[in-house]
Amino acid sequence: MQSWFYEIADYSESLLSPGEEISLHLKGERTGFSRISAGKIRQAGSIEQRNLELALRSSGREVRMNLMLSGDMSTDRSPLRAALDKLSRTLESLSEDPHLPPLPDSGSSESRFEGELPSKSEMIQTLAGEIPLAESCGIAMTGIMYRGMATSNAVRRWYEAPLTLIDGSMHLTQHSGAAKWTWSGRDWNPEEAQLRKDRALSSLELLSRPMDTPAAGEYRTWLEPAALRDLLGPLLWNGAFSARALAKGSSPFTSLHNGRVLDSRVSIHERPLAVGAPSFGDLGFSLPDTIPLIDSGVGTGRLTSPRTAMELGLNSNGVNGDEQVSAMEMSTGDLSSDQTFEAVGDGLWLSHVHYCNMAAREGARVTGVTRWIALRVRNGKPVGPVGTVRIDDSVLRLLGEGLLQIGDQSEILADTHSYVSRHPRGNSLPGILVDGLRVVA
Amino acid sequence: MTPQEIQELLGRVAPRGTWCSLRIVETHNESYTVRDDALLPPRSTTDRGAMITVVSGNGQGIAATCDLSPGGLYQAARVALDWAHAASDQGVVDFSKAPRPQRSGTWSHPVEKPWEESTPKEIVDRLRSSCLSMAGDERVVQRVASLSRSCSETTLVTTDEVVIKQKHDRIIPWLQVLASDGSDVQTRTNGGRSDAQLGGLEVLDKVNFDGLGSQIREDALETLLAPICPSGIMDAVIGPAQMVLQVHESIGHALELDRILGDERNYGGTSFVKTEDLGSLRWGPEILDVVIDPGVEGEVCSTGFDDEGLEAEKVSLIDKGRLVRGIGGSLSAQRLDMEDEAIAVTRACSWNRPPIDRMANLNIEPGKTPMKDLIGGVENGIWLDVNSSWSIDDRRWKFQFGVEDARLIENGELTTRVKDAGYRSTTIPFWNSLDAVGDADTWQVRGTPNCGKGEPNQMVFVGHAMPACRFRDLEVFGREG
Repeated sequence: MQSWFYEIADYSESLLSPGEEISLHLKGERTGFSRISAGKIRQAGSIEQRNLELALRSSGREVRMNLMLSGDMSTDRSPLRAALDKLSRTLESLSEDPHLPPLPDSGSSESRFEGELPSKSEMIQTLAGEIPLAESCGIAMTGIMYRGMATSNAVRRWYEAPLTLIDGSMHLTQHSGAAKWTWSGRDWNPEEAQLRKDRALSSLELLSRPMDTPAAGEYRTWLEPAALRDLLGPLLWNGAFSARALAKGSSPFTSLHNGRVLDSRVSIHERPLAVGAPSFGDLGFSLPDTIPLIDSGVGTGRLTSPRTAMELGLNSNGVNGDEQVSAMEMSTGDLSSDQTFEAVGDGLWLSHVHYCNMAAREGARVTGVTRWIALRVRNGKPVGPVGTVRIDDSVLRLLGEGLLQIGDQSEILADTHSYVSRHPRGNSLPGILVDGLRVVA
Repeated sequence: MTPQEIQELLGRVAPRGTWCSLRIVETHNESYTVRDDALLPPRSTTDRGAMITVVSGNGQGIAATCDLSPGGLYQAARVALDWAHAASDQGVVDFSKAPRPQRSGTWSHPVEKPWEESTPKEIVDRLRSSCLSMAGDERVVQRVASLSRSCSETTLVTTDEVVIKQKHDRIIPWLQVLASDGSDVQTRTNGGRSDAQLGGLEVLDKVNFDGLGSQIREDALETLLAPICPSGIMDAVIGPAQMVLQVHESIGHALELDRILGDERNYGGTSFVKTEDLGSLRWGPEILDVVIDPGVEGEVCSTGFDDEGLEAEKVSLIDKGRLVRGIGGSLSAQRLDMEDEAIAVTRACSWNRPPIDRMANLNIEPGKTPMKDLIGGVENGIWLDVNSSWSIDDRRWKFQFGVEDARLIENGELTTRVKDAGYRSTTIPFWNSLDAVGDADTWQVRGTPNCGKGEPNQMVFVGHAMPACRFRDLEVFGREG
């Protein structure tokens, strides 16, 4: 796919008129998937797509187009030529863009990873089949993801990586409990995946015990890495670290840049290498190895796209236009992962928080509900599942005065979302122990 | 390619002894955004691809490809065949007996003012004007006016020689004001992402796009200065733009048959509704009538067929408060032994995803109560409209929503605007607290492009035409939740 993409880039450049510049960004994938419901196949198949984004610019104006191409140069030349003609005509009707940033400087990089992918049968069998007293559901996806970047000023960047992702769950048939498990990696490792699956399976006994649902109130709680990711999620897509949102005051983390501090043990960075993400963004700029966002509890950095930098007079760090994290890493602490129940003592232990949303910008208040492994803990031991309860609390408080301990191990949480296409991104997070997590209903 | 050429192509690439379908989707999107009077780079999309489905023996396999050449489709058909073989004897059903499209047809809808008849400059000028109309106060820190168009043509052909061709042209207008006084920030929009409609640029006239800007600015500034919403149990009149979200989350998703069957439980979740509830559960009072209606002019999911070829028609889901049927297409209905209850809602977001059960135009029928009586019937309560926050559990039972637009109702009249309002409840008790449904004058045709579901994930348009409704004894709260 790389040689085809570079040929597309060369051809596109050959079609430019004097004064025109172009950048091309490819998102490609070859993905096989098997979706399982109650141990049986609901849908199974393959997807191949080559989505090319063209950005044509001239005289301080830019226009963009996404074009799905076939992968065959003899077929793709014609739509590419038509697209550039159309973009060129559209450009003529536009006024000058006062905040148009320059294209990335010339440069090249190539990240090509290799790994073994599971066969169709292995993918299916990972989730299919019968489980005593439970049903298996989920999706297995495998294949290679491609990202390419080229500009008319000689930038050539390439990223190619295999990724297998198993996103599964086991659902008790006689009770309402269910446990989620995931495995992801570049090199298919069925033994590791089986270990993850077995771990979820072993939790089903706990989930089949009588429910011990807490009343509304405040609870000392261990949040697994995925639960912390869930709570942070709506803050991130509401511009938590976005330079533009911070400048406008709409970021839920605005107060962290106006004197408020989190617990000094909290440090958060954007670090693509931590989760195997590409080292360049959608705009073709090379990303820094690390962008500090919160350092020892203090809001220090922000994600500044080239456009925001131009508009607001800031320094860009080359991130995408949406200024959202794609590879967030949080520093670990000292609570051993096998001590979490004891550390809770009397309270809750949550693997996830479902369907979170920002309830109020002030205080970065987030609401969501318990799902998957949600346990009542008494005397340092899990006693049974909690029913569905609603959580509504300030994340600034949970990472500030409410933070008791941070886990000593991070988990790499690959992005399981596949809207439009699969995405090579994720987070690396520890779990946290918090005081007084607010349960409202 | 013409449908007949596609049909012929399928005949050439289909593996012998198999049943196949080929669904080609071509989508053209365009989007213009003016932010703080500056035009952002315009964006467009030309997306074209095919999904081929092969049934061999009792197995089914699919392959989606962006290579529409005969060679590309031939190869895709072989990949799909391989999957069908790999899936043999392991499917949720014997796919050789799965329902298949029966009738050919075409469907499109009227477009009064085609998008193509406006130049980019005309569209941009209109957006600049709207953006400018939101200015005029230093507390307005960001203004966004944008307009998107999404035009999709879908052709579905099968080896049974069924040919279905449909075209949907959709407009998504968007206005947003961010207001700040240094200590607080408030956002107001034209409808919380629920203003999508089917049609051409006449949609902008229908929603008064050119005249909304100054009102949104004034609402944002008023909200900024407003007191925080009081907490308590109170009666509420919920406006159409919030009813969109309310119905979507607590009726639509709860009734999807693939959730009830368990297909979706690894991602979106399941449902509190059980198969035995279909036809019997008392969902709400007798004034509640909920339908799937594919024939509402301008509603985004008006259509002739679903993506598995089932013909669309208006059906009742909740009739006089009683649950009649769920939302599911032919295959889900067959799996539940309810073949006659299948409705045309099996949809895919594009060529690269398989169809699944989705809401289409999910509507509450207008009632009889005028707006003045909806409000007039509340002594101490609240008006809630335009969604800003949404969260519901994986069984679609326990929910909490926030709104942009909240005003107190005192002695039957709208009074003080309040901010950061939210409410929470549980589905069946909530719907049984409904005591009045607004009349046709309160009923608005609305829609959103952002309904996410399925694995691999899919985002689709959904239509919701809603009246204002009144609910008794709702738990309402302000900033502290």
